[in-house]
Amino acid sequence: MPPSGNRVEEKGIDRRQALKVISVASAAALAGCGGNGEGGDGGDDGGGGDDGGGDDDGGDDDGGDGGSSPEGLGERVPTLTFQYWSDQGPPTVLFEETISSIQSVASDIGIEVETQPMTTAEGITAVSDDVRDFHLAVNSHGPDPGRLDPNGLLQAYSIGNAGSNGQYNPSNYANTEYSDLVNEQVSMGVPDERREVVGEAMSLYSEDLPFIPTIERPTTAAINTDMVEPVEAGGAGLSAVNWAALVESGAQTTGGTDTILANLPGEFLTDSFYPTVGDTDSLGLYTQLTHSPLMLYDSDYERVPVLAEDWEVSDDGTEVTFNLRDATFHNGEPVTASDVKWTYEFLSEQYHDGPYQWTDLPEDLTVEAVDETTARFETPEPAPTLLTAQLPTFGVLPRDAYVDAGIEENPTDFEDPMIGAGPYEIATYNNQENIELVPHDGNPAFEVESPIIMSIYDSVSAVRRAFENGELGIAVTLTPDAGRQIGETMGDTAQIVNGAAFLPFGMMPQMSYAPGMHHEFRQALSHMVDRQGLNETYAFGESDVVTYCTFNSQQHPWYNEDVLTEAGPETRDVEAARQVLEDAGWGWDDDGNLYYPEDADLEAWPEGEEPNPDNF
Amino acid sequence: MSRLSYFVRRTAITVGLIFLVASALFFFFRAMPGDYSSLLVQQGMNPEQIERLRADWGLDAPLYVQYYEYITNLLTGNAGQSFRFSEPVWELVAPRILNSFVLVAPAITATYIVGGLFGAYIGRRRGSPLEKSGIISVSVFHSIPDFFLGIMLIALFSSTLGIFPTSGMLPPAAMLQVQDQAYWQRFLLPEFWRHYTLPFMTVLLYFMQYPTLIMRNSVVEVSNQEYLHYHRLKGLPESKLLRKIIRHASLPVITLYPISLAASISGLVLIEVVFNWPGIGQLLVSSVLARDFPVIQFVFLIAAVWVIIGNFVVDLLYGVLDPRVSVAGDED
Repeated sequence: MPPSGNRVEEKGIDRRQALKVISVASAAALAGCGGNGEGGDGGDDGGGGDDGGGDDDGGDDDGGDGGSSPEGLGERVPTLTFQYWSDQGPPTVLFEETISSIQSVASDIGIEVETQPMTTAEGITAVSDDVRDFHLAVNSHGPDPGRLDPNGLLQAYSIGNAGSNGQYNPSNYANTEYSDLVNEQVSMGVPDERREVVGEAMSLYSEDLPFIPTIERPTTAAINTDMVEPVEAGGAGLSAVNWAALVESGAQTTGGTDTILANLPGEFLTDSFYPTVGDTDSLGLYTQLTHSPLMLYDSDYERVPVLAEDWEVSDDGTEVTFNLRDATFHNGEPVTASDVKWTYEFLSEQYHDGPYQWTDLPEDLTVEAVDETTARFETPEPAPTLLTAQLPTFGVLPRDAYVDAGIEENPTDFEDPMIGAGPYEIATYNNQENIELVPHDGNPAFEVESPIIMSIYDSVSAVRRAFENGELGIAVTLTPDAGRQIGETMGDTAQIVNGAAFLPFGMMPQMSYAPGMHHEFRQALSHMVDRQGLNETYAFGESDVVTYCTFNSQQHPWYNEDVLTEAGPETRDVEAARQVLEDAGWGWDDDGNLYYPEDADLEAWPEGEEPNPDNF
Repeated sequence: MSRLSYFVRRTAITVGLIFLVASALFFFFRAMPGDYSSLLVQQGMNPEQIERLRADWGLDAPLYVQYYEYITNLLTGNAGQSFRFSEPVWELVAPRILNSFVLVAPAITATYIVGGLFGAYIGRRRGSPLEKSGIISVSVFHSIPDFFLGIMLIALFSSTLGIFPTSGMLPPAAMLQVQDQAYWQRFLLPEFWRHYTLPFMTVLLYFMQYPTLIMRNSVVEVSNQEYLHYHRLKGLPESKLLRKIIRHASLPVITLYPISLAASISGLVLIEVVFNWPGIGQLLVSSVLARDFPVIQFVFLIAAVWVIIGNFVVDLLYGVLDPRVSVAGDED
């Protein structure tokens, strides 16, 4: 169901007719009548007028505003502005290549393309405020571990986040039916039923095409096999946010090396391991290495028990009972149900309304220590994301050590004792410099052999040079190109570990106004991007193209191709793109410039406002 | 004007300049779109949570209140709190400044000594092949981007010859050992000097053009002055003559020294990234990307203060270095 354009049409808005009527009047009058998103043809607010003016820009370029459009067509489609995040390191290269891919065939469709590089902060602010000076945002959702449950991203695309309200809806996608399903799934206690509702929501989402995917997000790492034993990497590969493959394979050095030397991006070593604000990336590192949770996602993105032996969920989904394994914290104290109770009740108190949706523990969570090795989690309403997002994210903390450190008196500023029950213990920690980890034999799930020193590197090139020079045994967060070069330079002495993060790359058309609000235009764009080409140029064929509209990739535990709609072909099909537009009434002038259909709406809701849920 | 009143006036101007720079930085950064909280939106933070955080950081207060607190905090030595690391800015920046200073100060000093002497030497040999090749070589080194020069040195001395490491200040294990010791202890480790050599060489080669060419030109100019003819006629040996020339010709080079020192801090950003040197440049880049204003503001302020004080010191030293320079109205 196309959510935006068609819905607006149903309200009887006929912006083109209004423009035709007044096309003989002055330019000022034309501008004044430009925006009538809510109220017929009166041009009831300045925001709408501004929007109309902006849309006219493209037409003005060749003298083609409303009055000079070819017979039976609307305004000329303006120059498309692609905003992209310029500060994302390797992914920024892919963003630029994506835009180039569209740009190279733009003239075949009759459009012009320009770019608007922005920092992530600026880009997010612009989308959150529904600033209409760009038409598509090219970026990615970060593969934070809690996003292995779809709730966070499902919520992001809800109608409540769309419009100019400071909330981040990546495409300003507005679909009430979808949003209702999203709100429904978050409190469904029966996993199969929840999966079904999530599937329905994803089906609507996929059909509406608010996200035009391109390729899987590749992860590339390298292991110097003269220094470190090769690992059995799962689909997740090995990355700065995912060290599961290393601990699963025992983390052993070889060739007389006694310590594994690895790199980390700068943002990973912050002041505290306590889940502080703005520190989501590093949670994956700590939960997998130093602060083991009850269960976590392994190198194939499947949940496996760690400190828990097993768990049982009540029929109504309001109770989860964990049986604990024999485990000790790094200070030698045993992990008990009391520690589990204190940890999660405290974190719930602190983070029931916390910084990230996927880390929000239920506010009214209670944990009962049934006995030393049994902990029962209870919530008044089912809280399914507890098991799929929150508990795999937060490690169990030793109560006494943290209480003694003053965490209860001052949760955001205390001397973090940095004690967990992970397979690695923190021996030395230097903020923004390095971290030394030594094996801890009290972890029941993972047995690791060798110590690790991770040092901060902020440049992929510097990592590659250091790795090739034998200064690093493991290099993570490489670009696919760097991995390829290492492979060529070092041959068999380097194991190149290619994996995929669980959220694909793609483009977010801004659906609050034209042309991104029109489903056929999004379809056309999706046919214009050369996914296979991007895979070859960016990932050297090591990634996979994504042809279904989904924010989850094939690696994601909630990926369900059955509910998805195909978004576009593997290689571009410009003819198909033109056909889609033509079928929907779009057309071209003699110079090949693309024009809207005669009766096309140019905004889904007035600029500066939020969408009315009743209309979408 | 007496020297004392000149000193007082110059000091007041210096303090005023620092105040102006600090104020300008504050307002410039507040005028930029987006702040650190924007990044948190991407992670799913809702507006209420963002507002709470902004309140915690004082970003919801009127601008004049923020400005007043900023200035008063600066005066009491409080540079604020990093949004990203929830840590006092000074604690975050201080070790990085030290690391950068350890690299840049000796390298720039050596550049000016070596470049100055080389410039003087070729300046006395005008038209010689050495002069021509000397000018070309320092110009070539400066025309190559500093980061690329660093990469070339790595390619030659690390990847090909295997003499020096490519990155860091010390090997990771050694770095851990010295981190709890006095800072100077690392200088005793041979590994430190192995890691130090290539970034040092990069700074030296890149910045050598300024002192070499300025000194050469200055020497050429001074060499034509009459008092040197007098010394030559007296039969003063060439070595002593050169010493006199250098003394008189060195003023422009000395003037440029603190400016180069400050400028090299900004130029150091890419060199630090290439060599993974844990200095201020790396921190600055990551802080800019993360919109961590308190850190960026403070680093910029430090760089500005560095330049301002450098010029202040040079102004004061001028009269000492060259007796011909006097304060206007000086009775002496």
